[in-house]
Amino acid sequence: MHTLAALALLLPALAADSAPAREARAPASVAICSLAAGDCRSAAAAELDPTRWPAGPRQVAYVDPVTGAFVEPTREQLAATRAPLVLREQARLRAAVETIRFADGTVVAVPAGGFLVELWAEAPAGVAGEAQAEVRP
Amino acid sequence: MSRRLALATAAAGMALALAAAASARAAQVQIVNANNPGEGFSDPTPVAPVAGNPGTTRGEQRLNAFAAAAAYWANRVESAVPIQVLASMRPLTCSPTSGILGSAGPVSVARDFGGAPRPNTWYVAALANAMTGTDLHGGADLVAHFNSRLDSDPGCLGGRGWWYGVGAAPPGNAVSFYATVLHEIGHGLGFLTLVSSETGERFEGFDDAYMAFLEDHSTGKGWTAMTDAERAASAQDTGDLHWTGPAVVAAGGALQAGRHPGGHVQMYAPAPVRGGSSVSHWDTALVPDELMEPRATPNPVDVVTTALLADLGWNAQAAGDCLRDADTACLVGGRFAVEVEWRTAAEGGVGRLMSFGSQRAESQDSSFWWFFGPTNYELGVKVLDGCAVNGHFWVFASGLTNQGWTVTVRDGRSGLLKTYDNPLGTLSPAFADTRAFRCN
Repeated sequence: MHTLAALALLLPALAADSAPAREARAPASVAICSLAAGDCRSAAAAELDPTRWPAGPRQVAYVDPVTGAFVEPTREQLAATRAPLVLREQARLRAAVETIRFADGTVVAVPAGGFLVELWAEAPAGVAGEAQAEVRP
Repeated sequence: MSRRLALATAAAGMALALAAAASARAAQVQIVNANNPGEGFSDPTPVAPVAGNPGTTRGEQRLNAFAAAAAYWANRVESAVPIQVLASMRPLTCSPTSGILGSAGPVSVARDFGGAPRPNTWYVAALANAMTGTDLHGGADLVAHFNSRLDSDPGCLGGRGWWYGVGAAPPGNAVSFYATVLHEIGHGLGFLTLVSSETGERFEGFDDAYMAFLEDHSTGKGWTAMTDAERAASAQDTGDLHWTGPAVVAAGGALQAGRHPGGHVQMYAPAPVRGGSSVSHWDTALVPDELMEPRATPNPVDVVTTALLADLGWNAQAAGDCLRDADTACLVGGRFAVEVEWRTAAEGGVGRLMSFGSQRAESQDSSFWWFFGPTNYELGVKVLDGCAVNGHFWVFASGLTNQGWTVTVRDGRSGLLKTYDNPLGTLSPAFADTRAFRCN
């Protein structure tokens, strides 16, 4: 089944949980729903949003990706792992556009695949297999 | 209870009760996991927890980081209609030196709905739904796919994997999944133009809400008044393409670069044009680095990004505005958020605002905190406006405790954050930081 079609089937089942009246403003929340399982669970957005967390000291450790052991990276390895990625975005060409006109004058346009923008990363070669950094709180 | 709630353990009813102190703006973002069991967001591969992400499987960590990004936006825009994001992780194109991190965007757009601010103008689905209070099209509002090969293919981008930490800058050159999702959802909420930056052609021959606030300073023309050729030229007019919306103009005072003296803020307009990057991002000249710039930066701020969404028509809370609750004080008109953590040799927790009678112990500039019991004062924190004296806001604190504590003060205007610590076992001294935050 196409994922968008599957979603349309699932959403009515979510409606009771997710359509609060405008007057009774619900707190911000995030729901995670599974198409495969057909269920949802939710949490308060205030608890999940990291900009609402107090800052604390953090320690950087380096893990050998092969052995899983903590390692002390060499200067060269550190330099390699800090080589920046270059990002660029590219709009995917839109092919067919489905247009829906409602009686009240509303027009909805649905391009095939949506207005997708691809996010590309370009990296200098040569860091495979070297120490990967990990931050632990 | 840990503030860093593990979403995996949150039951639906409990979670809503936790948020009894509702924010002034609120939406529900629904992440619809389109992956099958055993893959993508349901990947059962065991992993060690990373910063701010307690997930113990790769799928859990991916969902936790995605949920954190969704929460950021849920806290800042208002909609009575849930914002639905169809999300998956799947193998996408990748080589040792180049690869797709993900692809995302709005699923549909609408125009000429009841109450639309501008006629004959496209609005992204989530925004149109928020404005009308109804789900105009049904189904997902945003779609987002991310590349699972970063984790599974050692040849993909030189072996860099996704980093699923949250609330901390990624180490080295790791690719932050949280930051990537945050950025892409921003586009899905309307931070993009539907105009072709190569040809200047409008989508289906109509304006979009985004272009209504674009102006080229070298010609003085707005994008809605331009021909296609003029828009295509403007998209490459580096340094002269600006955002003119009133919310951005009002919020942009904390920018140190990339802002015209009149308040307009520069948009990304490189020459030659860069496909999906041009126009639909802030200029890289902005200082500090802003969330929706076309590159990864370690600590981006949201001085004007949420304000841009407000210009588009979102009932949006400026990103820095404080969300007042039982353990957050909002001082100086809500510009500064104050939070407290405490620790003993055996335990730790979050400081709570005291109440005197039924009155919250918080004024325009001062707050009183308890750790162990609501009647047991431990700490006072205040932020004073010293702008007329030395151009700074001042932070003062003093305690009646020898327990360890950390006070965090966040400036919503600049996004800057300062912490003050008292070591465990030391009777709290009073302190004054009279250069804590710059006024402008």
